[in-house]
Amino acid sequence: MNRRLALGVVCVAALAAGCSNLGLGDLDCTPPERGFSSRNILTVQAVPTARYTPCIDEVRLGWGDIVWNVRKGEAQLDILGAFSPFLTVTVTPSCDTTGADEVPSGRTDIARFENVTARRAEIHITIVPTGEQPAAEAHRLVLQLGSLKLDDRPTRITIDESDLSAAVRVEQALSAGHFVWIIDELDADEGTVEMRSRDRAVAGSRMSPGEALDRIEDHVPEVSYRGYWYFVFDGGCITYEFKASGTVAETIEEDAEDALDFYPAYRLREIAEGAGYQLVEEG
Amino acid sequence: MESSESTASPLEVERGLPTLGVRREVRFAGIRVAGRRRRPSGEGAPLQRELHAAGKLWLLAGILMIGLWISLFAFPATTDFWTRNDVAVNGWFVDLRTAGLTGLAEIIAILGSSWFVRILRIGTLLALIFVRRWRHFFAVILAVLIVEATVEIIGELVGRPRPFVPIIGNWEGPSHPSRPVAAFGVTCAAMAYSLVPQGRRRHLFLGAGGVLIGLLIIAQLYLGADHPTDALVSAIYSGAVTVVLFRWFAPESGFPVHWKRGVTAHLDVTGDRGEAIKQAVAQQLGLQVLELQPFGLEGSGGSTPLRLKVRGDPDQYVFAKLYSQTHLRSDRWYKIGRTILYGSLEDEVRFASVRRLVEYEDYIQRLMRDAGVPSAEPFGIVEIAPEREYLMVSEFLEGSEELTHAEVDDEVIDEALRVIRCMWDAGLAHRDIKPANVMLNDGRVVLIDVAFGTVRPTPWRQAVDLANMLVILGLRAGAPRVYQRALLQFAPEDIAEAFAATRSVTLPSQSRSSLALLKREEGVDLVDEFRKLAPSAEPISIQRWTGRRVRLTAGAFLFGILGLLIVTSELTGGGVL
Repeated sequence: MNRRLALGVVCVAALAAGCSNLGLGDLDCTPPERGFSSRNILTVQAVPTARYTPCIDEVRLGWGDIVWNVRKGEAQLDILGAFSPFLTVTVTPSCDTTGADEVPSGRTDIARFENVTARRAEIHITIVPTGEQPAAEAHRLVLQLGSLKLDDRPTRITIDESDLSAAVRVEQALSAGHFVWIIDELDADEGTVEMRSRDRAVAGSRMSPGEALDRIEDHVPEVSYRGYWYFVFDGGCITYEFKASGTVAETIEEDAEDALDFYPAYRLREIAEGAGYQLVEEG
Repeated sequence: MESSESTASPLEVERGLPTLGVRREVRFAGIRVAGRRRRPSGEGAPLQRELHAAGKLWLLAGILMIGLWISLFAFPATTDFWTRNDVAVNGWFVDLRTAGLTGLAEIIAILGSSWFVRILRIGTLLALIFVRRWRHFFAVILAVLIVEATVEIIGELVGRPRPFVPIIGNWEGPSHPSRPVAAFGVTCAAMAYSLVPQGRRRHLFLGAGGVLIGLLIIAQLYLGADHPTDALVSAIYSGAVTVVLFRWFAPESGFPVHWKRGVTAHLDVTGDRGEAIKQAVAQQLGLQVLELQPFGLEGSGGSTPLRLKVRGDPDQYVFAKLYSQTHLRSDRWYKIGRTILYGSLEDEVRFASVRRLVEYEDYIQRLMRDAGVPSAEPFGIVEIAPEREYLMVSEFLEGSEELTHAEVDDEVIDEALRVIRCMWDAGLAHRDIKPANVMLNDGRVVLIDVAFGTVRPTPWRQAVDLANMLVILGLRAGAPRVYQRALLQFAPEDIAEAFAATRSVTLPSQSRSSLALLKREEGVDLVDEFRKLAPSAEPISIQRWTGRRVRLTAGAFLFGILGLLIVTSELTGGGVL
């Protein structure tokens, strides 16, 4: 076999080993009365009980390929960034919303739940004072710094004065992704702080608050958004799984709200039935 | 040579213009040469591609399927026609549904499941690895890749929804063409053509496979997972691709299916190819082949060596080497391997075609004889299949024996070394001086397999030729005696250079095993003895770094990583198999 042909076949197979990439309009939200794509039908066929299936109103700036997978019982859209999906939209007959909070969906026939595990556009500094004088110094600092923005991002400063040991308070704040300023007696006297972060390059002791803020600004953590949105309706559930970071994460909530929508699968089924076809489950 | 009417030389006979229609007949060394014939324009070559009637039928079916797919895009309205009729058939199957039949259909549908097909494919490939039938191994992979890739691409382009009936079977992706039927179809057909020997057993296997594919199609329709056209098109297309690919890429005549382990890439010379060889040799050389059989296969990896018995007074043997694209490919891989291991040690430029390969070898063979290197007389090149297969015919050195098996006296040593001297003086190198290639024929040292020789070789290669000849002679006569005789024709520095160039890799495997035996049985390290006799010399490095070597090494490394990823992907269930 011609080697180029063989290589071509291998390349095509490698591409085919992935799933189909959607173009704009392949899974759009045009009402079924005005026409529908075969992908809309297949998505409806995947979960024939679902009142709605996901659809795409528009592709937002920064969104890469959209990979569509469909099989019996599930249809999935992976919206890719540079290498991996930052948003996966799945329609299934049901879903587990344990741990998620119900929020208004704006629609009477859809219940919405959210379980956001990380929303990190904001920079958070937790001050951990180790005594009374340090606590007073901490409050003075919060007043002094007031409403602060670092790297053009809102910055929140809180004081953890709980009864827990300083080590535990520091650990809690670090695990939540906060910057930590520890103020002990000496720091309170000298007007300095000891800074800790998961990024070790930021850590330092006996720093003035100004120095500490400069160092944070130099090591601002990437914006990220992780979590799940669930839309539960008659016969099905659409899940948005977010794993966004970087610039995409800054607007992912608005983008997901505006660019994605719900396709009225029940209306498509009615139209098919009118034509003598069935898009329903047996029985 | 003598003619049947006179004792003239063959050239004189050939120059004469015989009367039209009268068959020329000459005799050379008892071999009867008669009736050479030019193949007229339009007449097929002796060996045709093996598509046969069934293959042509499958090819036609495959083309029809492609035509059907194109029509779906050219005339979108036709999809309504297909949908209407397909759904009517699906509806008929839906009406038949019962709990019992549904259970049965679900069991049959397992045939098309990805895990079942994967087990069959991996099992097939492992079996082919075990018997080292690489041609079939790659044919199976190619068939699977082509079918899977086409099904994916057409599936995406057509994007056909599933049947508009209640679906109770499992499905994934668009409906057309049917993935399970295509996957099982190509796997069955590939197993038949790669694992089952031709004949009744293969027919039975194909028949059984056909029945299973039919059952799978019925199950898919019953479960509502496929339209009838999805399943039928997949079955026909996967069969067509596999049959045509195997007949073209791994034809039975060249790559018969058998279960003997360790058989190399030598071509099968029975059947159609055997007949084509006889016909071609008769037409192009005028030799009537009475019998042909493989000869010395174990000593040859670069061609398929044959011994042909041809009509004569009495009947005689001639030697022939069959070259095909397989051998051309082996030569290319061998050169790439050498370049990666050593760099551009000598000419590593690959041959562009089988024709170029045999033309070069014929030229070298004649050049060696012109230079006075004693070797077999070439009779010419025979075309078996244009650009694909050629046969080089030469004198068969009957009654000759390997030098390592013969009585070696001073005269033989001198003559063997004179052969090397002769090549040095003529600016030639043999490049494969090993016991099997240095023969004693009627008291004369004769080199065979001179076709791998080279013109104006590197000094390193000439030194290696000398070292290898000294080793062969030393195995029979001992290093001191051979060294003393060598000094009559070579300077001590020449011999020192020869052994400075000697490495394990420069010694042919046949010589290496003889040397190891000598060391084990008599405790003699022959190469070391030669080195001690000759003046001391710095070892000659065989490593050469070039841009091409770096590129090839990097490429091989990347392919290795890719191969590892593919294997990992297959093992974890995510690959194309």
